Amino acid sequence: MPRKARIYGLMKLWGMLSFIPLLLVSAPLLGYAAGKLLIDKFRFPPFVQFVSIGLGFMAAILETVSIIKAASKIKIE
Amino acid sequence: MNNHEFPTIVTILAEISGGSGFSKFLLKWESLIFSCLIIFLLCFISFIAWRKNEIIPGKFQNAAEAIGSGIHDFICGILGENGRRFTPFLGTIFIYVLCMNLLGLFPFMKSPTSNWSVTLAIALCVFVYVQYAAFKELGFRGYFDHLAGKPRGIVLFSAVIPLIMLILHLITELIKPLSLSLRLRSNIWGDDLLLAVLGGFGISGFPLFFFNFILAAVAAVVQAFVFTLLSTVYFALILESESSH
Repeated sequence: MPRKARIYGLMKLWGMLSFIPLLLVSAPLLGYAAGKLLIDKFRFPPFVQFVSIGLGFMAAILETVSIIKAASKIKIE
Repeated sequence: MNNHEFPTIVTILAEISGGSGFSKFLLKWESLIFSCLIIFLLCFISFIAWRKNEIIPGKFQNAAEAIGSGIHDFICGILGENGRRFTPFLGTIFIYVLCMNLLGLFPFMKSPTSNWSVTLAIALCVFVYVQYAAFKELGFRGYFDHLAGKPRGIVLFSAVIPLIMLILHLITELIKPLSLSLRLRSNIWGDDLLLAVLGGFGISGFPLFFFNFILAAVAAVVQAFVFTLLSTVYFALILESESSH
């Protein structure tokens, strides 16, 4: 049973940490898409694109920090 | 059908019926037809397995119970005893995604998960359920407090910081289904495309085709597992933020 718990703990850790690269790629992408939508459909000024990409990147960093905090609480014996 | 795909039952039927409305309908809903086929197949298997629910199970019931308890152990191993209430949902997703991934390896079939609309729909189901679970646990006020980064004291009155945090948290919540769905779709689509290209080499490319077929079968299982694992971790992240609240 402790071996099983260790395996599940490692899986959880791996799952959490594998979220990070995905987040760092998809958040600025989402920001880009949102910025493009705002400019094309709602006629926002072009600098909104940079703001939304920046917001996406900030969101990714924020989530990365919270994931690392949660991952560091996992104890694997 | 494009040139880099094997013909399927649906595309053959569409070809036979010419350029009629039925043919267009078949081609438009191809992925949905295959995913419905999987749903019917799983319902049928479940019905057969649980038709005679006995204390001393038969072979079929035994296999179904082994799969069910394995999934339960895996989810509760990650989420703790709290995960018990999410086991039916996450277990269903695992079996459904696994069968859809494997369907593309059969002749004249296609993996519905190679279509982004299918994977996005599943990821959105996970997203909605996670938000519902968080909303139920925290309540309306607590949920928005969590999204605004739990502002207290002077930060609460500044209004700007909670608003920025709210936007950032909303973006992070929206990223998760996007990354989950893109990951699954891209992997399965890549496998199917590679097999179709190698199939085009004919008999001379058979060894390479066979090798990649085995790899695709392994990848189908691994991708279903990873999708479920990430969905489970997604729940774990929400539950942990609830417990620290």
